Amino acid sequence: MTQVAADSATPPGPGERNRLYSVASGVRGTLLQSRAVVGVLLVVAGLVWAILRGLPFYGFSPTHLAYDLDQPPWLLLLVSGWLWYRSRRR
Amino acid sequence: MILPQIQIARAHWILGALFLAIILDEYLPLVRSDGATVRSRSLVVPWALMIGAVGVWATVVFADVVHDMLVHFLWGDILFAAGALELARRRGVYDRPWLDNVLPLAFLSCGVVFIVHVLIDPSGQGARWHLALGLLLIAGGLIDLIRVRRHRPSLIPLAILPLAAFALALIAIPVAAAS
Repeated sequence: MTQVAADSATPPGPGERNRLYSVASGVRGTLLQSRAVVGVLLVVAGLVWAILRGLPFYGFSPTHLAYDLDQPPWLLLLVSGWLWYRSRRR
Repeated sequence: MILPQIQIARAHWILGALFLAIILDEYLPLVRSDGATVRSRSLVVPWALMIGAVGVWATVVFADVVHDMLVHFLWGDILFAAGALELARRRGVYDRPWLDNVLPLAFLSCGVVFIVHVLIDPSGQGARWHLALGLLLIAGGLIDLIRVRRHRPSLIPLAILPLAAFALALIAIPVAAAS
Protein backbone atom coordinates (compact mmCIF):
# COMPACT_ATOMS: atom_id res chain seq x y z
CA MET A 1 0.00 0.00 0.00
CA THR A 2 2.85 2.32 0.98
CA GLN A 3 4.63 1.45 -2.28
CA VAL A 4 1.52 2.38 -4.32
CA ALA A 5 1.20 5.68 -2.50
CA ALA A 6 4.86 6.42 -3.12
CA ASP A 7 4.51 5.52 -6.83
CA SER A 8 1.46 7.75 -7.28
CA ALA A 9 3.32 10.64 -5.67
CA THR A 10 6.18 10.35 -8.20
CA PRO A 11 6.02 13.27 -10.69
CA PRO A 12 5.47 12.21 -14.32
CA GLY A 13 8.54 11.90 -16.52
CA PRO A 14 9.09 14.01 -19.66
CA GLY A 15 7.58 11.36 -21.98
CA GLU A 16 4.47 10.97 -19.88
CA ARG A 17 4.17 14.75 -19.54
CA ASN A 18 4.29 15.12 -23.34
CA ARG A 19 1.61 12.44 -23.71
CA LEU A 20 -0.62 14.18 -21.15
CA TYR A 21 -0.04 17.48 -22.91
CA SER A 22 -1.00 16.06 -26.30
CA VAL A 23 -4.15 14.44 -24.82
CA ALA A 24 -5.08 17.75 -23.18
CA SER A 25 -4.50 19.73 -26.37
CA GLY A 26 -6.53 17.15 -28.32
CA VAL A 27 -9.44 17.52 -25.90
CA ARG A 28 -9.16 21.31 -26.11
CA GLY A 29 -9.11 21.15 -29.93
CA THR A 30 -12.28 19.04 -29.91
CA LEU A 31 -13.96 21.48 -27.51
CA LEU A 32 -13.00 24.40 -29.76
CA GLN A 33 -14.67 22.63 -32.67
CA SER A 34 -17.68 21.75 -30.50
CA ARG A 35 -20.12 23.61 -32.76
CA ALA A 36 -19.09 21.51 -35.73
CA VAL A 37 -19.17 18.31 -33.65
CA VAL A 38 -22.63 19.04 -32.24
CA GLY A 39 -23.87 20.08 -35.69
CA VAL A 40 -22.78 16.74 -37.18
CA LEU A 41 -24.34 14.85 -34.24
CA LEU A 42 -27.64 16.65 -34.81
CA VAL A 43 -27.60 15.73 -38.52
CA VAL A 44 -26.93 12.09 -37.64
CA ALA A 45 -29.68 12.13 -35.00
CA GLY A 46 -32.12 13.61 -37.54
CA LEU A 47 -31.26 10.97 -40.14
CA VAL A 48 -31.57 8.11 -37.63
CA TRP A 49 -34.90 9.53 -36.44
CA ALA A 50 -36.21 9.80 -40.00
CA ILE A 51 -35.17 6.22 -40.79
CA LEU A 52 -36.60 4.74 -37.58
CA ARG A 53 -39.81 6.76 -37.23
CA GLY A 54 -40.49 7.85 -40.80
CA LEU A 55 -40.96 11.35 -42.15
CA PRO A 56 -44.47 12.10 -43.46
CA PHE A 57 -44.75 14.49 -46.39
CA TYR A 58 -47.75 16.83 -46.33
CA GLY A 59 -47.24 18.97 -49.43
CA PHE A 60 -45.77 22.21 -50.70
CA SER A 61 -48.44 24.78 -49.80
CA PRO A 62 -47.35 27.21 -47.03
CA THR A 63 -49.39 25.46 -44.32
CA HIS A 64 -48.29 22.01 -45.44
CA LEU A 65 -44.69 23.17 -45.70
CA ALA A 66 -44.90 24.27 -42.05
CA TYR A 67 -46.22 20.79 -41.17
CA ASP A 68 -43.39 19.22 -43.20
CA LEU A 69 -40.68 21.17 -41.41
CA ASP A 70 -42.22 21.00 -37.93
CA GLN A 71 -41.14 17.40 -37.43
CA PRO A 72 -38.28 16.32 -35.14
CA PRO A 73 -35.83 15.19 -37.89
CA TRP A 74 -36.22 18.41 -39.89
CA LEU A 75 -36.04 20.52 -36.73
CA LEU A 76 -32.75 18.85 -35.76
CA LEU A 77 -31.37 19.55 -39.26
CA LEU A 78 -32.53 23.18 -39.06
CA VAL A 79 -30.84 23.67 -35.67
CA SER A 80 -27.69 22.07 -37.08
CA GLY A 81 -27.79 24.47 -40.04
CA TRP A 82 -28.27 27.40 -37.68
CA LEU A 83 -25.29 26.28 -35.61
CA TRP A 84 -23.13 25.95 -38.72
CA TYR A 85 -24.21 29.43 -39.90
CA ARG A 86 -23.39 30.94 -36.50
CA SER A 87 -19.99 29.21 -36.25
CA ARG A 88 -18.46 31.07 -39.21
CA ARG A 89 -15.24 32.82 -38.19
CA ARG A 90 -15.59 36.58 -37.85
CA MET B 1 -60.93 26.68 -28.73
CA ILE B 2 -59.20 23.35 -28.19
CA LEU B 3 -56.33 22.25 -30.37
CA PRO B 4 -55.96 18.63 -31.48
CA GLN B 5 -53.19 16.68 -29.74
CA ILE B 6 -50.94 16.62 -32.81
CA GLN B 7 -50.96 20.44 -32.98
CA ILE B 8 -50.03 20.65 -29.30
CA ALA B 9 -47.17 18.22 -29.93
CA ARG B 10 -46.02 20.32 -32.92
CA ALA B 11 -45.95 23.43 -30.71
CA HIS B 12 -43.76 21.54 -28.21
CA TRP B 13 -41.41 20.36 -30.97
CA ILE B 14 -40.86 23.82 -32.44
CA LEU B 15 -40.37 25.40 -29.00
CA GLY B 16 -37.86 22.63 -28.21
CA ALA B 17 -35.95 23.39 -31.42
CA LEU B 18 -35.94 27.11 -30.61
CA PHE B 19 -34.67 26.37 -27.11
CA LEU B 20 -31.99 24.00 -28.44
CA ALA B 21 -30.76 26.71 -30.83
CA ILE B 22 -30.67 29.21 -27.93
CA ILE B 23 -28.73 26.87 -25.63
CA LEU B 24 -26.19 25.76 -28.22
CA ASP B 25 -25.59 29.29 -29.49
CA GLU B 26 -25.23 30.66 -25.98
CA TYR B 27 -23.04 28.00 -24.39
CA LEU B 28 -20.87 26.57 -27.19
CA PRO B 29 -17.74 28.69 -27.70
CA LEU B 30 -17.19 30.72 -30.85
CA VAL B 31 -13.69 30.71 -32.35
CA ARG B 32 -12.76 34.17 -33.63
CA SER B 33 -10.61 34.72 -36.71
CA ASP B 34 -7.60 35.34 -34.42
CA GLY B 35 -8.13 31.92 -32.80
CA ALA B 36 -9.47 33.23 -29.49
CA THR B 37 -12.61 31.64 -28.04
CA VAL B 38 -15.50 33.81 -26.93
CA ARG B 39 -19.06 33.41 -25.67
CA SER B 40 -21.45 34.28 -28.46
CA ARG B 41 -23.50 36.96 -26.62
CA SER B 42 -25.64 37.26 -29.72
CA LEU B 43 -28.68 39.55 -29.89
CA VAL B 44 -30.53 36.64 -31.45
CA VAL B 45 -30.67 34.80 -28.11
CA PRO B 46 -32.76 37.42 -26.23
CA TRP B 47 -35.01 37.82 -29.27
CA ALA B 48 -35.46 34.04 -29.43
CA LEU B 49 -36.35 34.00 -25.72
CA MET B 50 -39.04 36.62 -26.31
CA ILE B 51 -40.37 34.84 -29.40
CA GLY B 52 -40.52 31.67 -27.29
CA ALA B 53 -42.43 33.64 -24.65
CA VAL B 54 -45.02 34.68 -27.24
CA GLY B 55 -45.35 31.04 -28.30
CA VAL B 56 -45.89 29.95 -24.72
CA TRP B 57 -48.39 32.75 -24.11
CA ALA B 58 -50.36 31.52 -27.13
CA THR B 59 -51.12 28.41 -25.08
CA VAL B 60 -53.13 30.61 -22.72
CA VAL B 61 -55.48 31.30 -25.64
CA PHE B 62 -55.72 27.70 -26.79
CA ALA B 63 -55.67 25.89 -23.42
CA ASP B 64 -58.91 24.43 -22.09
CA VAL B 65 -57.64 23.88 -18.52
CA VAL B 66 -57.18 26.73 -16.03
CA HIS B 67 -53.89 25.51 -14.55
CA ASP B 68 -52.47 25.09 -18.07
CA MET B 69 -53.38 28.73 -18.74
CA LEU B 70 -51.80 29.93 -15.48
CA VAL B 71 -48.61 27.89 -15.80
CA HIS B 72 -47.99 28.83 -19.43
CA PHE B 73 -48.70 32.49 -18.68
CA LEU B 74 -46.06 32.44 -15.90
CA TRP B 75 -43.63 30.60 -18.14
CA GLY B 76 -44.09 33.22 -20.87
CA ASP B 77 -43.58 36.02 -18.31
CA ILE B 78 -40.27 34.54 -17.16
CA LEU B 79 -38.99 34.04 -20.71
CA PHE B 80 -40.02 37.54 -21.77
CA ALA B 81 -38.43 39.19 -18.71
CA ALA B 82 -35.20 37.22 -19.23
CA GLY B 83 -35.16 38.09 -22.95
CA ALA B 84 -35.78 41.79 -22.27
CA LEU B 85 -33.03 42.02 -19.63
CA GLU B 86 -30.54 40.17 -21.81
CA LEU B 87 -31.44 42.34 -24.80
CA ALA B 88 -30.87 45.52 -22.74
CA ARG B 89 -27.50 44.20 -21.57
CA ARG B 90 -26.31 43.02 -24.98
CA ARG B 91 -27.32 46.32 -26.55
CA GLY B 92 -25.27 48.06 -23.86
CA VAL B 93 -28.12 50.20 -22.53
CA TYR B 94 -28.26 48.52 -19.10
CA ASP B 95 -25.38 46.53 -17.68
CA ARG B 96 -25.13 45.42 -14.07
CA PRO B 97 -23.20 42.50 -12.50
CA TRP B 98 -26.43 40.88 -11.26
CA LEU B 99 -27.55 40.40 -14.85
CA ASP B 100 -25.17 37.40 -14.99
CA ASN B 101 -27.82 35.59 -12.94
CA VAL B 102 -30.66 36.24 -15.39
CA LEU B 103 -30.35 33.20 -17.66
CA PRO B 104 -29.65 30.65 -14.87
CA LEU B 105 -32.52 32.01 -12.80
CA ALA B 106 -34.84 31.98 -15.82
CA PHE B 107 -34.05 28.30 -16.45
CA LEU B 108 -34.42 27.50 -12.76
CA SER B 109 -37.78 29.23 -12.45
CA CYS B 110 -39.11 27.68 -15.65
CA GLY B 111 -38.19 24.30 -14.15
CA VAL B 112 -40.05 25.13 -10.94
CA VAL B 113 -43.10 26.12 -13.02
CA PHE B 114 -42.93 22.72 -14.75
CA ILE B 115 -42.94 21.00 -11.34
CA VAL B 116 -45.88 23.17 -10.21
CA HIS B 117 -47.69 22.07 -13.39
CA VAL B 118 -47.20 18.43 -12.38
CA LEU B 119 -48.14 19.05 -8.72
CA ILE B 120 -51.42 20.70 -9.68
CA ASP B 121 -52.37 17.88 -12.04
CA PRO B 122 -50.33 14.78 -11.13
CA SER B 123 -52.60 12.40 -13.04
CA GLY B 124 -52.54 14.46 -16.22
CA GLN B 125 -51.26 12.96 -19.44
CA GLY B 126 -47.54 13.46 -19.84
CA ALA B 127 -47.02 14.14 -16.11
CA ARG B 128 -43.83 12.04 -16.10
CA TRP B 129 -42.48 13.88 -19.14
CA HIS B 130 -43.22 17.24 -17.51
CA LEU B 131 -41.55 16.11 -14.28
CA ALA B 132 -38.42 15.05 -16.18
CA LEU B 133 -38.41 18.28 -18.19
CA GLY B 134 -38.76 20.36 -15.01
CA LEU B 135 -35.96 18.51 -13.24
CA LEU B 136 -33.62 18.97 -16.23
CA LEU B 137 -34.32 22.72 -16.28
CA ILE B 138 -33.77 23.00 -12.51
CA ALA B 139 -30.49 21.06 -12.80
CA GLY B 140 -29.31 23.27 -15.67
CA GLY B 141 -30.29 26.47 -13.88
CA LEU B 142 -28.63 25.43 -10.60
CA ILE B 143 -25.39 24.29 -12.27
CA ASP B 144 -25.15 27.53 -14.24
CA LEU B 145 -26.01 29.62 -11.18
CA ILE B 146 -23.17 27.97 -9.24
CA ARG B 147 -20.76 28.65 -12.14
CA VAL B 148 -21.80 32.31 -12.28
CA ARG B 149 -21.56 32.75 -8.48
CA ARG B 150 -18.08 31.22 -8.37
CA HIS B 151 -16.93 33.43 -11.27
CA ARG B 152 -15.40 30.42 -12.97
CA PRO B 153 -15.16 30.85 -16.73
CA SER B 154 -15.22 27.55 -18.62
CA LEU B 155 -14.84 26.73 -22.28
CA ILE B 156 -18.16 24.88 -22.29
CA PRO B 157 -20.35 25.33 -19.19
CA LEU B 158 -21.57 22.05 -17.71
CA ALA B 159 -25.14 23.38 -17.65
CA ILE B 160 -25.33 22.79 -21.40
CA LEU B 161 -25.87 19.06 -20.76
CA PRO B 162 -29.18 19.17 -18.82
CA LEU B 163 -30.41 22.18 -20.81
CA ALA B 164 -29.73 20.51 -24.18
CA ALA B 165 -31.30 17.31 -22.82
CA PHE B 166 -34.39 19.36 -21.90
CA ALA B 167 -34.61 20.80 -25.43
CA LEU B 168 -34.12 17.38 -27.05
CA ALA B 169 -36.75 15.84 -24.77
CA LEU B 170 -39.17 18.61 -25.78
CA ILE B 171 -38.47 17.89 -29.47
CA ALA B 172 -38.92 14.17 -28.86
CA ILE B 173 -42.05 14.42 -26.72
CA PRO B 174 -44.63 11.90 -28.02
CA VAL B 175 -47.95 13.18 -29.33
CA ALA B 176 -49.84 11.43 -26.49
CA ALA B 177 -47.72 13.11 -23.79
CA ALA B 178 -47.98 16.68 -25.11
CA SER B 179 -50.45 18.68 -23.06
